[in-house]
Amino acid sequence: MHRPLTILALVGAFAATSVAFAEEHAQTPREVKARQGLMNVISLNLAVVGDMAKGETEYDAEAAEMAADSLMGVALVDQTGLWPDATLGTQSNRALGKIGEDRAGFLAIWDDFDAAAASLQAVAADGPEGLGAALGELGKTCKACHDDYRVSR
Amino acid sequence: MRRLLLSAGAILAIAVVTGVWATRPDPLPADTFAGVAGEAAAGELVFNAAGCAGCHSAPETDGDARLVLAGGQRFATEFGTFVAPNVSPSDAGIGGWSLSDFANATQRGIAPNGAHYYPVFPYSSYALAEPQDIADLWAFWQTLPPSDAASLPHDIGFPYSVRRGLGLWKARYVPDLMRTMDTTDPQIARGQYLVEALGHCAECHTPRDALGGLNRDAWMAGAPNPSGKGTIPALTPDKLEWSAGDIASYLKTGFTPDYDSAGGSMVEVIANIALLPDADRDAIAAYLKALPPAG
Ligand code: HEC
Ligand code: HEC
Ligand code: HEC
Repeated sequence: MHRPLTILALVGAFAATSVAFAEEHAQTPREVKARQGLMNVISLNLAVVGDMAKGETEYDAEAAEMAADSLMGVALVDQTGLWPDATLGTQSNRALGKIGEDRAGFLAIWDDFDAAAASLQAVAADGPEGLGAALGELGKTCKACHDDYRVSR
Repeated sequence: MRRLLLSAGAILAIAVVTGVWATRPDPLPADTFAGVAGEAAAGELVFNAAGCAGCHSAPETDGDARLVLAGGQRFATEFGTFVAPNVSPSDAGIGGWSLSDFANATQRGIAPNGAHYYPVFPYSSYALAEPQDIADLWAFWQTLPPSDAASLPHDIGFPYSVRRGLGLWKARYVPDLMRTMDTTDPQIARGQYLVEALGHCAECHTPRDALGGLNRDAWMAGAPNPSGKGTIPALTPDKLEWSAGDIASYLKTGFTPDYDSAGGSMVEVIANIALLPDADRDAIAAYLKALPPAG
């Protein structure tokens, strides 16, 4: 679909968060900046579709589709290099050491995220009605992974 | 000398008698459920609003498996670790109980044999529930699947292991009315009931004093996490700046307004509250927006 735009949007948002992070934490490893940037790309694009599902913003098929494409873009990013052991279970970010001990389980949830993003992508342009259910599925993957692999506040 | 001894004996006797009196169980009036017929269909909403499955389902269960109240979840507190018992309708659970047994447990913290329950079981909030809701809940209970899992013992040390002492705690902390707010707005009143009686939100979001009782002067002002890690956020409008719509949607979808997912023990709460009708989540939000500021 809007592949070139997606990647551009992705890189743009990613770069923007990276800059913010770079200023804040000069010492933060690049892998941590990258994965936290990806998480923020997820949040920002989810906000576009989520606010439409809630009726807070007016439904816009093109914007919804672009946001869903961007989420799919995140799903396509290879995760293997982003979670090195040295950056897990430390005080400076919220990734738990369990990611290193259970890489298969962690990657399996990424596969669920991939599938849920694909389902959202399939319905995003068809009207606001289908958004809620697709977002619910996507939300389950965030919750599942954050529950097991992220430090809670 | 003899006189002195006598009065010492008298004082001791008085102390024992008042001690026993102050720690005795105080059950519900016998006519609490006179003329009240429970309806299972209505009880499901009470069940979800009260979050019984949140604590009594087996650890790590989802979907329909949450209806099997086999127990086994552990709750770490500064007094020790408590384990939720099997409360399913079975011999290993509470199969043989009457509505009155059930209500005295849930609203007075008293076991059928008269022993006190620990306040991790949030009966001090449920005490505020309407008899009709408790009767409906009990009717719904009969539709739940049985489990034969054995209840596990708590892991707590002396003196907290002595249940008798809990009578004093209860006399001091179990409320007999909703104290935080007077309201004539029916939506806020519904929210107040859902939050203060059934949802027991304050059990986590209000700080406690040294004896583990809620500090009502700091109602919903946020609290240290009983698990020892981090803090539980304040929900008063001066601290939580979300709109009523944001709050209602968080309780339905589990997403914060900036689209991070809710975490920690709130995940389990949302799993239950998400099952309520929209109007009830809107009422909860309206109540939270009407709270006095924490300052
Ligand atoms: C497979 C695991 C996984 C999935 C799926 C996942 N996350 Fe995350 N997320 C994490 C981990 C781990 C962290 C902590 C990263 C760190 O601090 O280095 C995190 C952090 C975050 C953060 C905080 C970023 C920051 O600035 O520090 C946000 C926001 C977030 N996730 C949103 C989401 C949303 C929304 C979804 C679902 C649509 C989601 N995540 C799906 C694992 C996941
Ligand atoms: C925060 C966790 C929590 C919630 C929520 C909770 N319970 Fe419990 N419950 C417990 C714990 C822990 C005990 C054990 C108390 C003790 O041994 O003193 C318990 C005990 C009980 C008992 C006594 C069982 C026995 O064998 O004596 C009953 C009945 C019960 N709960 C019913 C309920 C009902 C009904 C609800 C919802 C309205 C509920 N519980 C909600 C934690 C919880
Ligand atoms: C078992 C403890 C517990 C109970 C009971 C509980 N909460 Fe929470 N709540 C939490 C925790 C922990 C968080 C922080 C979640 C996070 O870290 O993402 C939270 C967060 C929240 C937030 C978001 C606040 C913010 O600043 O992020 C709201 C709103 C909320 N709870 C409302 C409620 C309501 C309404 C109830 C009752 C129906 C309730 N809570 C019952 C533990 C609890």
